[in-house]
Amino acid sequence: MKKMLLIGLLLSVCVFAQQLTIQGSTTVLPIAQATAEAFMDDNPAADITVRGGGSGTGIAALIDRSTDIASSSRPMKTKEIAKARENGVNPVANIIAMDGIAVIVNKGNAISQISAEDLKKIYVGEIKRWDQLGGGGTIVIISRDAASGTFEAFNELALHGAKLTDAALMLASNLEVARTVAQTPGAIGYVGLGYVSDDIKALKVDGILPSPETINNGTYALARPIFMYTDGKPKGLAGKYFDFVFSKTGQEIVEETGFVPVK
Amino acid sequence: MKRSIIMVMLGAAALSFADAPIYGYFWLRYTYENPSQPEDVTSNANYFSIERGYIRWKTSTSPVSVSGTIDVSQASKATNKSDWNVRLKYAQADWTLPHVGDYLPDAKLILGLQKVYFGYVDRWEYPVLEKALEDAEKKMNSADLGVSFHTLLPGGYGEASGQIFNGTGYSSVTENNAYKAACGNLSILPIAGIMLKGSYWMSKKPVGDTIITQVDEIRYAGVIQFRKGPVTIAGEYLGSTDDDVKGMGYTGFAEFSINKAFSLLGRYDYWDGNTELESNAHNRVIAGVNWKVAKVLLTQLNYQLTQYENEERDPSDKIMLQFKYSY
Amino acid sequence: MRLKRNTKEFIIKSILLFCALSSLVFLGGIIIVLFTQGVPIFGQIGFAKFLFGTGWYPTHEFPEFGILSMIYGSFIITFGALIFAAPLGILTALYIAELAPFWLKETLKPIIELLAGIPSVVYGLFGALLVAPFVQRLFGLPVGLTAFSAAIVLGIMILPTVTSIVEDALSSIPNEYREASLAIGATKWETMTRITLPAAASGISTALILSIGRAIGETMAILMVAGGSPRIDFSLFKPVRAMTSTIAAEMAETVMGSIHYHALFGVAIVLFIMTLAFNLIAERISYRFHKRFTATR
Repeated sequence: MKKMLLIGLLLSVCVFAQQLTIQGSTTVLPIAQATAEAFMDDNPAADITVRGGGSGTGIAALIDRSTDIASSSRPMKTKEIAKARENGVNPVANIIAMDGIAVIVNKGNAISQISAEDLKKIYVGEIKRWDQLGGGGTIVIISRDAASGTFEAFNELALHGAKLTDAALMLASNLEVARTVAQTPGAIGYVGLGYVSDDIKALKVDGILPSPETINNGTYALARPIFMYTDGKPKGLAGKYFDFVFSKTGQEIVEETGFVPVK
Repeated sequence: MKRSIIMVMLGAAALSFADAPIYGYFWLRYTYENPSQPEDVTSNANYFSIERGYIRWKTSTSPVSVSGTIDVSQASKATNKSDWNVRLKYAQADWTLPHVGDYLPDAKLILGLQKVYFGYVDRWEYPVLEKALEDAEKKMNSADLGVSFHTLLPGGYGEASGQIFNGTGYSSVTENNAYKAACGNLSILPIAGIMLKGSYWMSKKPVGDTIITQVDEIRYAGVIQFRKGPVTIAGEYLGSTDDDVKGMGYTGFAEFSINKAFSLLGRYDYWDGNTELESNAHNRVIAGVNWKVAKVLLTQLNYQLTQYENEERDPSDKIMLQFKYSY
Repeated sequence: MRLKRNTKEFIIKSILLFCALSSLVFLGGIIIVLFTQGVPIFGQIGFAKFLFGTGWYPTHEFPEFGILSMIYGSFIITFGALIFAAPLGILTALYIAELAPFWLKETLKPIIELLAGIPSVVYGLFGALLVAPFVQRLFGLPVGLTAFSAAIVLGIMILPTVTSIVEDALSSIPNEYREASLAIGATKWETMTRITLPAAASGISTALILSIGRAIGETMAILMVAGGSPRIDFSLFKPVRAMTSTIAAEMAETVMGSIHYHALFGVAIVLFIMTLAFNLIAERISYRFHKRFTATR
């Protein structure tokens, strides 16, 4: 009996030796965590560790080979690619999802579209009233907290690194943003595409309404790919994991976590 | 003129100091020496030294960022009373060029006291304690005062740079030197893990105090580096011409990481300072172990043996233990 | 085998001493963590720049860490709450201590104390869903998530603290005071305003200062109601950002050991020192108050 136990233990150790580490972007963290958990449910032998730290940290970890997969909300910089290649790592980009941000206003607002330029002007505090855009009243600017992934995406895609006006309300979740916009006639806010509901109105940006199609075909401006970088094409356990992420179940998880599926 | 440029640089460095995080490292070393010519060393064949301390800072402003490094080192081998050198190693402004970046990624002009991108010195981060070959044989400085254009190749397939320098290195920037040096470097990464690099450096050096008679000073180097998984193997060929004296040498370096904390290192250098003379060459064999104790502390143990072509001279060897502390 | 009485006594004593000391250890631990994690920010960006800087852009490419707008936010909400809660709390306490019949007193007290037991998230929801839209419509504001709404919600939250401490202070005033006053022909109103309230003045100050300490540390409700703009407008009807909500909203998603992480701990240090100061002041006043009445007796 004891011997059996021992053998069992040894076997389980051997089986559990299949390890995979994913490190990087906090924006991608929800997808990475949810898919890793679901994947491990299906493959009890696999042991996937998911860590945050930011896109840069993940890429640096891939370069010095301390992670198998680097998750990133931006493409790798040329400098990082050069460094990786010098270190014997051949970075391959796998786009596992799209990040799309919808700009929302109160249903009572007369405006139904906005240019990317005006949107930026509103958020940096240059446009303060709807009158300047053909509506009426004071604009109430609503933003997510500076530490959130949605803010990070918006900051990059809409503000292009310009500083957000300090008059903006900083709310703690996508749901709070949606609710406050629904309650406040003059409000403008932004949320992940999945949080758009009938209580609020999503604006066309540069004439394009956000949808899975316009985000995937690149016509909608406030969208960006979500990457998972590997050293060479994913093989072995990493290959299986990617097969799972790109499967129907995997892409459903992507959608549940507030992102746009790529397949 | 030159002095005023340096003053401006120092001023800029001081300004940037106020608004930038400071970081760097200190190297604390113990050396036990067994010299081949004991009469060269008056005392203290074994000693502790703070070989070097770097205090660095960098601003994150755009498109021009300013950075600097102050190098604190013990001037002598602690045989005399404490004799410290404090000097600027780097003080530079990086200007990321607009528009050019669309074709040449990260293209920038670097102004000031800066890195020399020559040969393997540029890549050498002291995995073993000895300096890179060109530095160890005093054929090249790791920093100099000048202007550079530096860019990455599109797609991250390598990098290229062209530099113009004063030519005397960073140790004597305030000297009234009258000769300039030009340096060109190209490195390519054809497949991940393999780097090929070529460098060429040339200047006209005055003989005596005037610039009437000048002699050629030329350095050229070829580097190949292979890195895959835990293995790094690198080789460099170095040639030099000083007037009509030609020198040549090569170095081979290998590192194997046993795990995240430990790695084994080996290096072989050969240098012949004048190819036309007999028995003036020497070689150097280095074996080392690195132990990364913590993120901030690297412990390095090296054994270094130097052998001379001159049969009358005995080989010398030394053991060095070093702690590199970064903050 | 029965333990000797002394031994048993000793063991119990030791356990109690250990428990008493453990809170000291916890406090020490908190202080150590706070300062080791927070002090680096002062070195990295400078103490004055941190405390008096007005820009809060922790995740920007060129970050700024000025917390003046948050100190302002915390204070304006706190004092707004005090302006709301102090009169209401003192008058309630006065009624309960001096006027209410016994049965009403015994009904009101637990109800008020129940207010203190409601989780602050519930207050936050109440504030965001009811108070904010109401304030918005009442004053015709562009948005209801303002310092004013937060002050009202916070005022309700500190009401039990104010009421019960003031009530304690009033009850501890010797009955001879009131009887003497009534005996020389003063009315009940005159007794209350001229005798009882002044006598309890320092007790009331303690109550107010303690509730400031409580209010400044409140997090969840303010996070949900105050709006969170890091900006100084000197108006109650504008969104503001408090120190506590900043820590709560951003700590979860910062990289450990990053400059942003240290900055949040820096905010916590400022908050800790402020709360400590308020508690020490309250302690001081309440000590004098007690000394006075124990001396008269």
